[in-house]
Amino acid sequence: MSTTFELTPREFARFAWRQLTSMRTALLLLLLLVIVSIPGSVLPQQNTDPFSVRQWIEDSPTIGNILLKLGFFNVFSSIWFSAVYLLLLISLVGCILPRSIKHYQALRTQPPVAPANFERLNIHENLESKTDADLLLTEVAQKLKQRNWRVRLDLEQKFVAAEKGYFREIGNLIFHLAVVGIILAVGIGVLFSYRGQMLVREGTAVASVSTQFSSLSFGTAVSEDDLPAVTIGLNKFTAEFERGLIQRGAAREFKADVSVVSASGNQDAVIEVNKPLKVDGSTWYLVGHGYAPRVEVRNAANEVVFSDSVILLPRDGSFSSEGAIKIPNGENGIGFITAFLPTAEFSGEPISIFPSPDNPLLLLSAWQGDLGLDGGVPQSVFTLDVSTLERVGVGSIAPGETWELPDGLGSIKFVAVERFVTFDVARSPGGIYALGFSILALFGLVTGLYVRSRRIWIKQSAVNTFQIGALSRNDQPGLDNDMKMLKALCSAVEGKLK
Amino acid sequence: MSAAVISNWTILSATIALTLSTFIAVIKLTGSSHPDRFAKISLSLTGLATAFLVVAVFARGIAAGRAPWGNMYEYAITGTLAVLVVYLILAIKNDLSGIAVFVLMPALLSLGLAQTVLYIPVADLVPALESGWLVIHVSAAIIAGGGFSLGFAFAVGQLLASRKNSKLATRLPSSEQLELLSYRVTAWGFAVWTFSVLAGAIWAENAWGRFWGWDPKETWALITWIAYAAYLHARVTVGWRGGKAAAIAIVGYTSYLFNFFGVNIFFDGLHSYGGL
Repeated sequence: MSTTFELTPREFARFAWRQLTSMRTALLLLLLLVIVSIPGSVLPQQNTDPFSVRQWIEDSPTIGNILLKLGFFNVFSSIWFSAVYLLLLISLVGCILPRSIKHYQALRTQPPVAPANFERLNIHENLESKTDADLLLTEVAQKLKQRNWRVRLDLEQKFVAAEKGYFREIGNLIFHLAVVGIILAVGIGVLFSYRGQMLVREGTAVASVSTQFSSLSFGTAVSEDDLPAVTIGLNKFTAEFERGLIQRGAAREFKADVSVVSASGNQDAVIEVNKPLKVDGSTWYLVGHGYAPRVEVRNAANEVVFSDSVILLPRDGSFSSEGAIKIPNGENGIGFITAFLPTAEFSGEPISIFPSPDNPLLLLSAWQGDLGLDGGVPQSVFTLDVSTLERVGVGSIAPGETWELPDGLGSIKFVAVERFVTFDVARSPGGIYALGFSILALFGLVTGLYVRSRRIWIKQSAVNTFQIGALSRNDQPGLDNDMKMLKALCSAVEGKLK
Repeated sequence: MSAAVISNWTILSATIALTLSTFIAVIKLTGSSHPDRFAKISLSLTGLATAFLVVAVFARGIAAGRAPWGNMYEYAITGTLAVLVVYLILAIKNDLSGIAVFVLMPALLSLGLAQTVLYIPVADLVPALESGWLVIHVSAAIIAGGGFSLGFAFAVGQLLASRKNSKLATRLPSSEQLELLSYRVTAWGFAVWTFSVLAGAIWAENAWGRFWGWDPKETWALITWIAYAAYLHARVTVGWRGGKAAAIAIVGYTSYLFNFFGVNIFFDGLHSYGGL
């Protein structure tokens, strides 16, 4: 005969809940969270480095695509990561709320009776005293109350119990709830936040409308209508790099002088790396920069067909930059693949050896044909698809110089070195709440770790003999001080009663 | 003599004092006829090394004209100083001579690495670090690291001391004593680390427009934090107290070290200021 234990759904639910909210489960979930976070830092992630993700998948397509499907390139929004941390949050709340209620009740009940066996306490001692027990205990209880102990006086069983350090548990509870608060504040804040990026050339202005952004994303609760009407013009961008031998070429100063036009008025301002600009609820961060050489292109008839600065994307720390210039004209379109070297040096291949424009040089490779811009197929402005084009020639020019294209096709002039900057435009509300919860969390943590929760007792064990003892409910030192204090109280009372 | 040169020379002096101190602590641990005298000499030399290091870090700051926390070298020397200071403070009330080697050896290793692999002459900061938050965020991380390092040393000692039939175990302080010491410094490190991560989030919002962006450094700071949170919970969970909890503390320290070395060396992120 076999016996089976069958749980009703209700019992099972209760069992599962108790398991989930146990400390052991919380501990395992914490360790699990450590493990599932690791791939998010080892593998490139789509939200921070989409380029590397693409590269990774191209390099090893089989594994790459499996990992992609399993969310390994998007770890922190993957189902499995979310599952672990949501379970952890539920476990946390499920543990903390009952504990809060329990602690509240503990605050309203008396300290526990003196233990039968003082040997089991952390410290205990015998005390001889000829003072009347009731008088001594009453006086000691009185004094302990004055020192903010919660006191229980029992003249039947002849003991005083006292307890202190309730803030330890309160701090613990506050800390855990505040952690939940931080996560909620940040999580809800994301719903109301937006974030975009735009490239602005020197001497031009951009408006914060969606078409001007190179990337723009909105939280669920906001849309394009929530973008404030702001126009920012970049008057001048200054970049300084280390010229000394130590860390040569390292960034030293970036400064964007801007003119701002907004609903709240016009102003001139400076945006620096750690000094973003706040305008009408949006914040503008200086996050990058690069070169945008100004060029002038003439056609075969020597008419100017293009005159503007061209954004080139930096490729390395010395700001070697790449891009394309496209002048569509049906079958006779002209396109340039462009490389810019701020400080050109010729030792074999021309390279840039310093990020500042000390010896600027524009390298050009000219192509002719149908650039395909009219076909309606969107293409990158930074690359030129040469598969259908015919090569015209290559040239290199310094500022002020002009390259005459072969076969009288026209010319291109490098007018001047100019720059562009990258602004991140963001609104992330919820910050003030996250900050508030952070302060609460720190307060709770320090209180929960450092307030000493402890109990002391004094009990008459025989005629003229008292037992005193103390129990620490934490791992902080200092219990012997409580013992000393209790002994001092006793002898003071004794002295007074004599 | 310039402040930078003074800094380099005092670090060398600190290294020499610490080497002697470690050497004597080893003799004390392996058994000598005058253990107390050796313990005292070792502690005094540690004090001397710490004094040299204080001068070194200050001089470095003066030479650079800023808080000396701008690259891995500066982090390592200040971090070693933090470890030694906390160690000396603990040594006032506790007899740490039995465990001294476990603290001094890693400290010596850290100073050695700093002067060989991580060394970088004085230079200005990149604009991303030009902020008052550097002082708050990084110094908190360094101080927390001091606590974690000591916690790690004590946890390793605790595991060794709890081994039965081990000659070494008899010479170490009791595993219970080491467990308590390890907990105290680690819990303290955890509180300061929490502050550092939160301050970092506020700085990140101020510099990059978001509190949290899963940058590798941020991710590993969180992993470290969670590992130590797990340690604190393990200590109060039946079946996990003692050895297992110590093992989790060691995992936490490994991830702290990885956040310092690994993330700076292997990953390209927003926190790439290592100077390697």
